[in-house]
Amino acid sequence: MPKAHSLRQLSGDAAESISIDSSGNIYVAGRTKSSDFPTTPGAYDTAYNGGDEDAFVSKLDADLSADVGVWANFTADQTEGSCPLTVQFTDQSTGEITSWFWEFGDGETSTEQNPTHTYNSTGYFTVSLTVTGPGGSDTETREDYIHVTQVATPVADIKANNSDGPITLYQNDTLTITVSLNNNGITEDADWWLAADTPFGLFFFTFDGWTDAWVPGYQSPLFYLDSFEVLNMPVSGLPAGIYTLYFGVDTVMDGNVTWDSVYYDTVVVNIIGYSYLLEKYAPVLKFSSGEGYYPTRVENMIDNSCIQIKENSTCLDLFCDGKGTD
Amino acid sequence: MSLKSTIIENLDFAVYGRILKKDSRIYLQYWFFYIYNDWKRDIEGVNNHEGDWEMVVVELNQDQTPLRVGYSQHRKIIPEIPLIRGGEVRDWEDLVDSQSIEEGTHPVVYVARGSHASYPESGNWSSEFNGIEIGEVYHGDDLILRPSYYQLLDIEKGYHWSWIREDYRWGMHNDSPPSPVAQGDKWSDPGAWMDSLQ
Repeated sequence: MPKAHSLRQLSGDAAESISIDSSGNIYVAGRTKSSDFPTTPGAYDTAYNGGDEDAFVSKLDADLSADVGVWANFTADQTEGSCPLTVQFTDQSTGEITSWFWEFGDGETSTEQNPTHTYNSTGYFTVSLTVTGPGGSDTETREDYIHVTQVATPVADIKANNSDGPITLYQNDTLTITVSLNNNGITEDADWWLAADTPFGLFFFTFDGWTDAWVPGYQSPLFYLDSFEVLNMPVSGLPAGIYTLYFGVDTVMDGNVTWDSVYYDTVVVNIIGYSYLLEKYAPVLKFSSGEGYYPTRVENMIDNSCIQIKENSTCLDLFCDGKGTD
Repeated sequence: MSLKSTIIENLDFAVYGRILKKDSRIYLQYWFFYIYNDWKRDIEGVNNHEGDWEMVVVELNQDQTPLRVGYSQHRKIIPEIPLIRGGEVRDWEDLVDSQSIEEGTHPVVYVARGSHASYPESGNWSSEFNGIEIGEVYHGDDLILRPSYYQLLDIEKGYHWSWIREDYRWGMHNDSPPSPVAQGDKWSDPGAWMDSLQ
């Protein structure tokens, strides 16, 4: 025994020493009081187990490592990204391996050792690799290992009075329009658009005012725009009706709208005229018994262009030819 | 079939509304068209005529808080009979206190029988003039027209009501009332009209 090391304990079963021979076999020697300490058949004398301490020697064969078999393991060059996401998987398994079986979590599989796989849908995907060799097989599974996100795009936002709308304003209210842009790291050149579809036409914002010409309000590379107040005005001068405001960017910066590259948001503002007040304060009319006439539409009184207001059917030509008479 | 029953069966009740902004006030005018004023049908009544235009107006401040209500009563004022007035003005809070506002925002109008003068509370009055006993009754004990029972027509929005805006006289006779537009401050400056009544 070329080498030994003391493992002595103070009481009970204990290893006293460990040693290794030139073939790599390992020997552990010690003492035990156990009556059922496992012994090799034919060993010195099992009848002496138990009671007073007995010595033992355990041998660990040097070739045990050959029975370990295979160990599955892998890496990926990226585990998160926007759709479509192409991932290069690399086998890191150990042992003698003769086959690989990959499951990518999206229903697709591969038997290559180092496959490349493209995810075409968003979500979390569980990846597993099963390796097989003469020593057996092993599977490594990683839950939600790959995260595929939406395609990164600019995200425009427009708010009316700090609301995504639709909102209702009366003609003594104030309208505040704020816009913001999350460029999501994209810095392409872009047309910036702010437009208003109103009861009296479609208009486009420029820093020189509103125009009915299709022109972007601004042209520049995309950048992160925090909440920016574009408009703050009383609506008393605006006709009642539905106003839809648009804010967005067109990553094809050519001064025109290319719809495939436009990313925009809208907000709807309903401006109500004062006419609602007429209904709100409309009177309650109470008549006395014996009343003969009630308020009515003027045109209801017209019969053959004249008003019939007497029982003898005398035609009072109040509206004959559309004119009254004195 | 009587004329009255014919009218009630065939007509739909209507009130003509108009909004006027003036001097930091909002005026909500409610014009009522009656085809006939038959005040004389009552023993005490006078002044029959065709085409009767009456009106109440609600005054709001800029933040739409109601301030006053004006009630038109009689176009021709007879000084000898103080109760025959051009109209009456009441503060909104007074009307609330006297329960002349329904559901918080709707002024109650007691319509005098025959003359169609407007009053904020029910009642009656009588007086003698040149030996004739005249008066009005406005008990409100019969038909009630709440806003849901009549059409509220915005004068400013109806081109086919444009004749309301023309200066016609609404009847054969000279005592018929002129168009609302020709009724002076009552149409064009309701605030001044109400001030003149207070």
